Amino acid sequence: MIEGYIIHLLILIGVYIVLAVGLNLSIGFTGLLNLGHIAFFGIGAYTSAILQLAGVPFIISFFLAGVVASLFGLLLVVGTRNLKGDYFALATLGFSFVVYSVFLNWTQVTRGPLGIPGIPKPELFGLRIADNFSYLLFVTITVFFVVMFVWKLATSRYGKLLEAVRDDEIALRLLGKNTFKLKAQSMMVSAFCAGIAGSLFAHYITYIDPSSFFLSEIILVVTIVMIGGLASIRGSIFATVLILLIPEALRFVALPSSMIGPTRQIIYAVLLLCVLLLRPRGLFGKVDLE
Amino acid sequence: MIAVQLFVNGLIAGSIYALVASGFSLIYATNRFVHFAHGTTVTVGAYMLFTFFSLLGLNFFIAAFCTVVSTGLLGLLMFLLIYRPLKQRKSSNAILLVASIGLMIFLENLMLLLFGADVKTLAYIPVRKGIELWGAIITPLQIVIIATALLLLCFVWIFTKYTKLGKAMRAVADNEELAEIMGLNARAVQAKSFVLGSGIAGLASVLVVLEQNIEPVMGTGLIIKGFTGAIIGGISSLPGAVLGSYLLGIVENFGIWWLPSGYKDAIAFVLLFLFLLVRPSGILGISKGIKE
Amino acid sequence: MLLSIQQMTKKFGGVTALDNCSFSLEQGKITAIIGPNGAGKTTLFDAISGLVPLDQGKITFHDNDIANLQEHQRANIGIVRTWQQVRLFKNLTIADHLAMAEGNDDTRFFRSLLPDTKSATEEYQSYIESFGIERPTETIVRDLSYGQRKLLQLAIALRKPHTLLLLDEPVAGVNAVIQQKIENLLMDLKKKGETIAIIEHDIEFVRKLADKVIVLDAGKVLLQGLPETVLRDKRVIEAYLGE
Repeated sequence: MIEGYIIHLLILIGVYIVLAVGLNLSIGFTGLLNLGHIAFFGIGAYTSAILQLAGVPFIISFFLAGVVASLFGLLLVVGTRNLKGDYFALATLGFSFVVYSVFLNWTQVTRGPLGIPGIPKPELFGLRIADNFSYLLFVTITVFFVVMFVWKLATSRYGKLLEAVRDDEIALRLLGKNTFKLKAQSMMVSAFCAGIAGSLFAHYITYIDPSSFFLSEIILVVTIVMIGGLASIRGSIFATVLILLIPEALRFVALPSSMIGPTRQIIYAVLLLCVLLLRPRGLFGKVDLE
Repeated sequence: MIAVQLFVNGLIAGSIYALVASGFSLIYATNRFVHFAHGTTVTVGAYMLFTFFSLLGLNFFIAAFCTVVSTGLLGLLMFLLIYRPLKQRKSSNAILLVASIGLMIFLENLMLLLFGADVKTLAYIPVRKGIELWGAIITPLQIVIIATALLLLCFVWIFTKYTKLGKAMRAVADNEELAEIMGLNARAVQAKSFVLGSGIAGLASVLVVLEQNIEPVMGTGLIIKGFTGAIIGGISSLPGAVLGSYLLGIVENFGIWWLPSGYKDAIAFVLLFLFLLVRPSGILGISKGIKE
Repeated sequence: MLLSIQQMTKKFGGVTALDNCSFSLEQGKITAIIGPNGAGKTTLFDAISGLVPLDQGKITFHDNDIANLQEHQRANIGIVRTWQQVRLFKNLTIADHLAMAEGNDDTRFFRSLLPDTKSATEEYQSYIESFGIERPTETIVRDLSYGQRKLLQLAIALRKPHTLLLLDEPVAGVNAVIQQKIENLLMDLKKKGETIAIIEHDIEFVRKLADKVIVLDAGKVLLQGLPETVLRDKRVIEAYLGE
């Protein structure tokens, strides 16, 4: 019983680590205040669920979830190429909202507010990942590869260029670097991570509906990234564990179930505001929020 | 005849958006960042009105007055507790935007906790049968809303144009440093525009709850509309924001001729997107609104 | 003739920042651009490096029209610039900056997933020391003094393969010691035969350094020619020496 609960938590933590590390690549390293991440998460979840229900093998739907999300990432960067700072952030927030509306209204494909039930548990090379423990194993392997990939990318000379985009994009262009290409690639990797996190999420919960991908859900991931610290992968991992565990304490307080959701959101919002006001570098950040 | 009806519906929606947008753009003009929690100020206002009128049984006009005062106070609190410290640290607009989203989520969920998820109604003016005007049906209440909104907007416009505070606000909006050199306290003016802008949001909430139900999430939709209206018209200009809001209301209502009504809210974002990409200075071409 | 500009005009709103400017920069020569504040000197550099699109005019480099090249493309054909207010990447180290200037191998996404090639720390160290920056190459740039950053900016620009250097007030805002250091570096560059356009206020230094002087005033080219003739002109003396 308690083991089941812990495994459940660990799976969710794994999903959110993939999501948060991906977001840190675009926000923390590249300095793109991307509020469209939750939309990429949703796009990944829906892509994977729909493909799998149409009979596409899991491993292909899983990768396509990332690919489709990253194509939308490319689209978003191309669309917003002339916007900076808060205008970029707002446009990406708008993107999240439009994607949410599509999930809600394109009923032939997404079944709208009814959601998609009965998403099968994955089958990998003939092995069915039916119980939660093997699912946790699969999530852990994914987390490992994603973290290694982003870490390698971020610490390479290429990663230094991404950080240079964040610090002064124009100066970098005048050093002869195509910053648009860098931003597009960073966003695509970031969206890819969100997409496969969405797939992991969908096949674990086995049911998705638009409400999991609404605007307000972005606050959770942004809070994780800010608390962990910009441009710190270690920070994002640590903060994911922390942020997902804190509201679990609410289970032990006798709160009516209708109040747990809002209380959780309030905790996230307060944590976000506190970190912005009191510790702008986050826990492990080396870079100041500006 | 449908066209006339859609146009009237557009005017009603536009009136509400215009009130939200004008408060928003008053705040934006002097503060130069996107206060996204402005829509949630309307939500809080709606619940305040519900509390004063339905729970405490105050006279409607007294309740409305109390509502406006409390949203004004809320605006001041948000500025003093969150935005001012961030501004003093020279945080970028992007960070202020993130903070405002944090505030929005905080207030929205606070309302959810305090008042529950079920929809509240005020039922102050009973819904009466509409009058027919050139083939469109409009209820007396809706006429009241449009008229009140227009009256309020004129009042706000006159206020910024002719009063001392209004002039100070315009000076700060024009050039913060210059205004400081001229002896204006820019921070104080910014705080005052928060009070004023949020007060206008309170007025908007009074009008909104006359026609709509009260829900915790109502503010998100409203700020998206108000903000889009403001962007369409030229974000830091009051007449522009009002014009843009009415335009948005009308476009949105005509849009559901072709699109399923569920997409109504997305129309605003598509318009917002287009304007941000193609003409970020708005139809009136106010270039001051755009800063990196 | 390395770079040639014909009838260049740029307006910002109602303000004409550059007004029908024509001049050329010769290979191996140092051209000083002088003029009062707001004369359009920095806008001129911005236009050459591609930051602001021209309203009118033609700009050729090695006899090729470069109007359609973006900023980074212009940098990669050899037009390299520095900024009056230093622009560096404040969270990166000195070594990161130097590595960036060397080539564009680092922009290749998949290359980043292979093991990194060893960076030449010792070579970097002696390189920056030759510019008088006595700090380890792993120092993060925000920890450097302003003078050191100004030196580093110059070091990076020189490290980037270039045929034309645009130096925007390289000695502005630094103390006398570093000013002397930078001036010596510039005199060395002159000996090496680099092609440079430099915005500079110190007339005495311009007289020593420049092969040619262009005087900008209110966006117009007021005068251009040899330093001895231009700097003897009455209008220039009035503007600069206050006589």
